[in-house]
Amino acid sequence: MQSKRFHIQANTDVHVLLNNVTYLTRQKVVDEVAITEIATVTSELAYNIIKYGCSGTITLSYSDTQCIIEAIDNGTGMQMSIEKAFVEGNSSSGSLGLGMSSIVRMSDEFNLTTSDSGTCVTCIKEY
Amino acid sequence: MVSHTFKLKPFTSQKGCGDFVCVFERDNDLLFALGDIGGHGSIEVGNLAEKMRAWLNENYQLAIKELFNGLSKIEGVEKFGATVFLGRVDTAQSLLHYMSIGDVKAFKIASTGIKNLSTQQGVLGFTAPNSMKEFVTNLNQNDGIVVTSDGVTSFNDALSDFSMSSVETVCGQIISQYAKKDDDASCLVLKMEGGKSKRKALDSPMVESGVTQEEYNRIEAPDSTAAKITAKQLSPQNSSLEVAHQRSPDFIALPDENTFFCVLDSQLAARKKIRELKDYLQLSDKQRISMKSIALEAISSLGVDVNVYVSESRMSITFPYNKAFYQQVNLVIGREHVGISPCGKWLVVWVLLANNVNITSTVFDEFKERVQLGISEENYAQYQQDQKRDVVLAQQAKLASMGEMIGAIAHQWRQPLNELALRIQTLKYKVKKGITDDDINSFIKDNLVTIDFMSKTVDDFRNFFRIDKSKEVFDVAKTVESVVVLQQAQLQSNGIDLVISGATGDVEGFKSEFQQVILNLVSNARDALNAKGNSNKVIEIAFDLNKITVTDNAGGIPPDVIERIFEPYFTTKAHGEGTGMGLYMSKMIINDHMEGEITAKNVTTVKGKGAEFTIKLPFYDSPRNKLPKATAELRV
Repeated sequence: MQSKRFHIQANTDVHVLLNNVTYLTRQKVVDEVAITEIATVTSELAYNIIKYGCSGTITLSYSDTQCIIEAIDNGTGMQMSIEKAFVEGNSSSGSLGLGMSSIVRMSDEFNLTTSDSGTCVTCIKEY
Repeated sequence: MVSHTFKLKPFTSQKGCGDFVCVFERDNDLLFALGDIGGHGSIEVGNLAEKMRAWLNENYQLAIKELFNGLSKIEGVEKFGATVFLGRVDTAQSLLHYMSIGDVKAFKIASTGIKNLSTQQGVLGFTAPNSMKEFVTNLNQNDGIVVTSDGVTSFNDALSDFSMSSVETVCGQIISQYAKKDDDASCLVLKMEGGKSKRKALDSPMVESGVTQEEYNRIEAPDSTAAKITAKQLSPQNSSLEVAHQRSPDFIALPDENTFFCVLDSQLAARKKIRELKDYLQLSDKQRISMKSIALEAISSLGVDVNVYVSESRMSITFPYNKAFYQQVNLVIGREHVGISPCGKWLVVWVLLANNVNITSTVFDEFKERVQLGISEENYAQYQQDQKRDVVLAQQAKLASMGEMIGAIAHQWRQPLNELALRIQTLKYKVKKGITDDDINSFIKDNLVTIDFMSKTVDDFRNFFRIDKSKEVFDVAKTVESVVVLQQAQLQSNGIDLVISGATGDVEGFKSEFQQVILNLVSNARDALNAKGNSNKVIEIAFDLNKITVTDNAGGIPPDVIERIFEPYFTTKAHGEGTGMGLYMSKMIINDHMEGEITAKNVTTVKGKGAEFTIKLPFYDSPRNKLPKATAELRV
């Protein structure tokens, strides 16, 4: 399992991450759809960190069959009820709020833990 | 669509059953709850379970977090305490949202394997965590959820054919085969009959995907997002919390340093070590849960290490003082078991032991060592065997270096013995020629100097082989010189120049062991130089601020073996010439006994290519002030 961690604090960090994620994924994955989905999930998680968590980390881990994307932020957790956060169209940040549900749709495994000291999202994408 | 069922097996009667299970279904979601009230077999407990179920029936449309807060406020919960698992399956999104507190077993059965669903330590109404975590996990087609109370023993076997079995079959099997006879038992099973199907199902994901079990567990229970205090969410405690705010703190002396037991530096260590302590110290369940909950919260919420102390009659934990945390702990364990150190920096929490413990016994010492190492009894037995083996290895290495040293002394004595022989032989010619008083005085003086030198060699030899009982502070440069002076004659006879440069300070350790290391390095360099056979043979010992380097110009260590030279029994010398123990023992002495580091690399200097061994040590800048290591730990 090869891993790489990125610190996310500003939009420039997200740009660096997204430049890297496509490159790293191509080392393991041939399927362009899977590459795009991994990049999209990573992008959504990274922007969520900036929108809600102020700062955090994204860790990308690759094995021969899957990619694990782990996003950890040090924000104050999910402000709205956790059930509503996954309903499309609901957002506490003023944006479209499509993020979380699209992340779930594109992931083969999705796990989230949130409390008032931060949120951790782990997505597994098989390829 | 979600198929679901649940079963309850009361300990005595339905009216006295402290377990409750309920499921509420709507168009796009399904709420389920499984709870276990503290105690069983009493009408009061049964009534509370019924009350919680009825409240959920009225309010099931609320969000999970609100339901959790609401349950904690129900009258009676603060008296009996409860463990609760609340989950909501979002059938449109194929997601499970859940919150859980206490000893509830909950699993997600997926095509990728069986995974524990996270639960938080504590008891609703008693020792609730400072912050409640909410979890979300996705569900694919045929994925299942199984939740049971602690009245059910481990039931993994019942899940082996989950995808092929109905929820009724699985639930019935768990209750009929795994329910404890002396407790209420409950089980709830759900299965996703529709929903998102996985594009690729793996029979053995842990192996095939390359993800280890440990990595999987980390993903399932990401403790890195451990939460802070949310006493507001558990509002039944708010009134008593306010009282605690107004109370002045109780001061208590810190536990005796001699009774220090171990450090809990992670949630995993806290769980494991407190469980071991519970068995050994015969703590009650309440004492164990209290200490564990407090330690876990201190580690996760405050981000500190927790120190454990065990005296004959009490077990204590200490960690840096935090006002809010102090007030919480007061509520959890009772004011009489919490205090603040007189300096105001440490919070001390303790429990009294039902039976006194002999903390001076060998059994206790071994138990303490085992817990500190964090290993099982089986591994500890192996560890003890390894320790004994290391003692034998150390003896072997010592014997090998003794052979080295005897060789060095043989060289060292050859010259003075020659001198003595010559002087004695020339004596009779001097007598024949007519000996003077000056000749006699010179004969006596010269021979005494020679004999003194030989005697000093014997003293050095004896010092080298004495077994140090305790560590001492010694001058590194002088100690190195005391070794190489014994080897000087031998090196000269081999045509090797020894150059010593630089200055250094004092270190703490076993002096003779350190001498053994230097002897090994110089002897190895000598052997390598002799094997190389070049004319310009040099060994340089250089002292720097915090390191010693021993360099030769014998061509260096072959790259294919350089990684292995510190392994036991590894030698490149011919059979019978090297034991393969020298560098292994050197590493043990420097790394384990002196808190230092020894490394090797190949270098090229003006004298040519060669090997360089570097020893880094925690030097003293003055006899009393040890230079702190970067990784130094601060403890109470």
